[in-house]
Amino acid sequence: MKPGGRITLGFTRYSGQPKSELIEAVVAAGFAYTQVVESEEGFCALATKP
Amino acid sequence: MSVVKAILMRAFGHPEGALGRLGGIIMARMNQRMAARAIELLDVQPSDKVLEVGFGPGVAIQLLAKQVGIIGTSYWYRSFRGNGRPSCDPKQQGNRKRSGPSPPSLSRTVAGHRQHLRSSFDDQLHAGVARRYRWASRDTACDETGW
Repeated sequence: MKPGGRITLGFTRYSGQPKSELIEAVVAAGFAYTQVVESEEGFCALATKP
Repeated sequence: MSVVKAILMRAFGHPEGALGRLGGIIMARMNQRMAARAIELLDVQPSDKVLEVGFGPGVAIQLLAKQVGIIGTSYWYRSFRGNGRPSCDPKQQGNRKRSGPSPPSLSRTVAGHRQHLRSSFDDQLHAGVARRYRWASRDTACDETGW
């Protein structure tokens, strides 16, 4: 990805993905400015590549 | 493998045949709202180059295509072959004029060809993931190769 590029990871309620580990995993993958947004459908992680 | 597990794998794990099509319909319905939400949050601009990593029936790419004005078969379809350079499929191009700015386009490639896409994306989208997977290590690997 280009520097400044954005990533969105969307997980449905049925994914089994634990929300608690999401930010750590996104940061470990080299992204910054991470946030988790919840919705009725599930939750999304947003992040930017430095 | 139990019968139930075999049926689920045929429908969702490695979709094939009628069960695979049924699984695709179910996944599309389950994932559509999440995909729409993820796209909304990503705030994709028409000039952006977006990598959509999809494991399902293509709901997110369909929504993205509509958002940037790719409708039906009028999009400029490209695929990566051989030397990795994009090659246009003349059957999909029709009599499109080449002048003016490039139209929005869809491209596809397989994970093994990702070196041809090095550092070229503005946005990346993974939506409607149907089951947990080790995406952290996968994204780390992707980042090392330039995704």
